[in-house]
Amino acid sequence: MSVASVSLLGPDLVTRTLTAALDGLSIRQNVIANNIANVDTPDFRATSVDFESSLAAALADGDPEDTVISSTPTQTPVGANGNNVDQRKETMAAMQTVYQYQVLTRATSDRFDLLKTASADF
Amino acid sequence: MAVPPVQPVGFTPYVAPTADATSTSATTGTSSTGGDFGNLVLDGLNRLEGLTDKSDTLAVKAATGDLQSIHDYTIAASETSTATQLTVAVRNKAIDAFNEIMRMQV
Amino acid sequence: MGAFDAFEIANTSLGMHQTWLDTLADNIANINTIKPTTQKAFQGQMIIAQARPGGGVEVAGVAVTDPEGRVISDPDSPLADADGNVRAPDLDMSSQMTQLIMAQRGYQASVQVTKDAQDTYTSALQIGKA
Repeated sequence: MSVASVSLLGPDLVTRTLTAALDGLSIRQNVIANNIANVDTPDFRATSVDFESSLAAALADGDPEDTVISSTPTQTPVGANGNNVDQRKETMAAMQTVYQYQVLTRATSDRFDLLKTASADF
Repeated sequence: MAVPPVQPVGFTPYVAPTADATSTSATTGTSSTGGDFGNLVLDGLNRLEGLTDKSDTLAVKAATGDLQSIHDYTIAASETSTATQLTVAVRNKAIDAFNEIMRMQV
Repeated sequence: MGAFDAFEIANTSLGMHQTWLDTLADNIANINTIKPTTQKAFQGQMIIAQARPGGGVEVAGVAVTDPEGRVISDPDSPLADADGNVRAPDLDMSSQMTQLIMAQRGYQASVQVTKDAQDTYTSALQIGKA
């Protein structure tokens, strides 16, 4: 019965995938915070985090831990003082990241709850 | 966008076998009890497996950023949770009933 | 701990934007401060912001405006020299006001980052709780 398929050797594949994604979102939140903090810093160039594509690939090989969380410069236009932080874009990205994080923590909790339900009154 | 209907878990009510006076029919009663009881639990488990797989798939989709809408996941998760609770309740009741039948034989 | 980096980053931003607001407020308060031509003009301050290596932003230094200021004609002023000139600060009100709005907006943006971080950390703490 797959709902109880937790190996005693460690967390199952789905939980490991969720954990890898949560790691990625955490880094993303920090990078967005840094971009927003430097919205007025001259010559500052914004960066953005990508991990979803790496996670999908790593998952296909059965190793979500191999996910690479990369931070690359954004393509936003540079302003007069050399700064290219798009505050609106960063604010939207921040909100979305928080939301995605909550979806995944909910998913993680749900899986633990299933195990608790299945193992209660045994 | 239409929400797919919730699939029934497939719970068939347990029918208690009629008690017979002779020992041979009592033995038959045990095996037929065992058959119904086994099917009952397995049927529920098979349905549950499908729902759990669906939940897992959607959770992984959410992780890789491919989830189109959050309610897809939350509905699937709720279905699985409800189905699990139902299956566990059925299992527990089935075990209780089985134990009660076993006590009767003695 | 490193787990709360977002807070720390936002905090540096709040600090820097607050300093910026303070200097702008001081500049604006002194925009009409007149000095005699024998002295330096009132020097407005401009903070120099740079990205902080550990994340966030910091005030790298403070620049001051030209001590020559703007020599303007104000013969009725008690500080006027023989030619009726005085020194005004080399500050432009509209520029200062624009910066004020930017500093406020930058401050608010990092306040929101703090709230978002709170939501994230709270959500993580709820995993596994009934």
